[in-house]
Amino acid sequence: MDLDYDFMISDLPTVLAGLPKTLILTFWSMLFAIAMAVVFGGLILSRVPILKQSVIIINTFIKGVPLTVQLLFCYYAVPYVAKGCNGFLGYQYNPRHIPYFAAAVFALAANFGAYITDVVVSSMRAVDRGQYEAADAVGMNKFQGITHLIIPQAAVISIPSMTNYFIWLLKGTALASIVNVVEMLTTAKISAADGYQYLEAYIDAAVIYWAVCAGIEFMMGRFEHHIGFFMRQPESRVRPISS
Amino acid sequence: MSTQKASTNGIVITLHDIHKTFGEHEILKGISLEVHQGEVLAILGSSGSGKTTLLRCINALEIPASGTVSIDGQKIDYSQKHSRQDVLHLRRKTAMVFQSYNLFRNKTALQNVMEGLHVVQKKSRDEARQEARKALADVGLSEFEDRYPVQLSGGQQQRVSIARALALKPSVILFDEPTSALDPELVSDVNEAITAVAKTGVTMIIVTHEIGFARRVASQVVFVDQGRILERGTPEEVIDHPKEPRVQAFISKLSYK
Amino acid sequence: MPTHVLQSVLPGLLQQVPTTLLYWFVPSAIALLLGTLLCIVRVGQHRVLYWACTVFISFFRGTPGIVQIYIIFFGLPKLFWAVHVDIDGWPAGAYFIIATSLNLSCFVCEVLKGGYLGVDHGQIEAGKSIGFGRFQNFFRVIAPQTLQISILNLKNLEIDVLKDTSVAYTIGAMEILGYANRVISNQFGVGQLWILGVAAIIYFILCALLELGFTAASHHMERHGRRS
Repeated sequence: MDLDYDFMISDLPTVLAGLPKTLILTFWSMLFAIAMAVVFGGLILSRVPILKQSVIIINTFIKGVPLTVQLLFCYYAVPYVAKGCNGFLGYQYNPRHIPYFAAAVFALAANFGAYITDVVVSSMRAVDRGQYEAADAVGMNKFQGITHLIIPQAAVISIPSMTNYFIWLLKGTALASIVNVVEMLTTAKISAADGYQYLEAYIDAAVIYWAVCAGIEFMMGRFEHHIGFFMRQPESRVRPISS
Repeated sequence: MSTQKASTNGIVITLHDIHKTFGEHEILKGISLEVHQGEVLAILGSSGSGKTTLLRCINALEIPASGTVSIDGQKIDYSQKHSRQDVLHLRRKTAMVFQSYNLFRNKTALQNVMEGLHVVQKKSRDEARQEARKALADVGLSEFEDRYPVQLSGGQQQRVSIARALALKPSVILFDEPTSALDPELVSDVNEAITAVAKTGVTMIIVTHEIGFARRVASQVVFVDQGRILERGTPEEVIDHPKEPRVQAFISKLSYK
Repeated sequence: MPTHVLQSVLPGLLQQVPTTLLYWFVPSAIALLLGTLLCIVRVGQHRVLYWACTVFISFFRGTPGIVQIYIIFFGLPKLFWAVHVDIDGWPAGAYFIIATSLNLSCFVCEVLKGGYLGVDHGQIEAGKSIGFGRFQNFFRVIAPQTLQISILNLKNLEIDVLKDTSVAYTIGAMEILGYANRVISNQFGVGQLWILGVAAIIYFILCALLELGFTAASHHMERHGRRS
């Protein structure tokens, strides 16, 4: 097959240089997504009447619209928003440096926040009922019980799902290349433009994504092994089927 | 499908020197057995003795490491290469009643009984339905033929399971602790159904720990211990007058007439 | 609200719905088949095939969809060219469908594997005990029950597939979002937020329909009672 193998090798470091940007985009988006999920999840769990339903409606809408549409929407909206924020907290609107990165973070965070809300809610609900009673028995009030016992346990329960969504988010940042954000895919595209070696550049990018995602999954497996031991249910004494 | 045709000397099933290993443990250490036409064989033993494994080796749900199994003329020597077709043919001479009934969840009682007749024995839908109806009537569940397993009690499910096995008219019906999973008050219904089946003259092999029931319904009893047959004979011999000390201990611990 | 803009755009957007549904349906059908085959290998014993599939699945789950689409788009012609076949005339949508099918089959495989592992083995043994051969047991016992367990996860996958059809325009395959983008660029960006909003609502409605359809199918399958 007619592949420019030399270019593939020489381009690898160039594309790799885009990886930190991808990771930064992922981290910021994940941070805001979790923040949103904690707030929304808290509202759902608190069962406050109108707020809970509103949150569910908002999330349902977000989950029903493609990420690309959301990214493009934020991309077109951000000039107006930025202009409107002119002067707010010292921000100077500069039409030559429209904050597309922030727009992408917003779209990604909102999209994934809607999904991660479910993780937060189900993790909190998964904590054994007995833990609440144990907290009461030791004399903690509701707030102390939740912050000291329940949330830490819920957090550990949520780790597998959170890591999964982190990996999804990392892959999702590749879509930000559509909206003028410089991350690894954009870097690959740019590096290939000169000689039209797009396929080679994209293969390089794919390999790096693959390595990173596989690496994260692997680390997650090891981490869960260490941290998760106290979450394992006690082995029930099951009688073997008599043979 | 051949029904109760036995070989000339009346022996339907022959097991010879069956060995079976799970991982590092040898569960069956050389079992040999003969079952005659129309016999009801009860296999007794404590848990871990290998009795269920033995039963499952007969219809190839477990594959023995070595030894031969012969059912109604169909024979497999597990020490040699055997094909999937051979296993299938052997298995089709048998039917099994499981401890956990294992009825097909997405089918009614009637459909459960019809399934083998229609799909495996290639009978027409109507023929299958007729025979299935008769089998369900034999176990006393005619009014429940349109119920799904989830709508039936454990005892009823087990009786449907018996009907399913009966309808196939196999050379032997295998029962794997048929009442172990049942609430006590449902056990007698199922035992009645099993007794009725025995009266029809079908060859049966029952793994059970209900000694009283085995005493009443079996014509031959075999005691399995640590992968070997420790004692065999009529119910009177093995249950009433056991010779081996281990069998004596077992019977006395569990017997309730 | 610039209703005139919307009035001119809405019919055009709706005209793209069949194409979007095509880009959703064809990969789904292919992936169901391919995913089942992959799953069979993954729960089976054949060493070489198992590892080949593991690598294949790991690649498609570990790389972004858009990168896979680009690679297939640029790479498939070269691959065919190496065996002297010229596929220059292929529409962009074909590449999108191929890439999506390969990608989706990996996820379908994992979902089905989870479902298969959840099937009560007693059911499988019951099938064996009444004399079912391997194929009969598969089609009459294993497959229906795997499907019943997996269907909610399959629902989520399918909704994602529908939403991901919106990436097709990046390689030139026209569908809803592609059309919206074209209108926006033709109008020099006037009313772009409204246009995207309408497109968003169309996607939302399609996703909602999928959700309802699958949930109904799931209830229908469970009408005989949920397993355990």
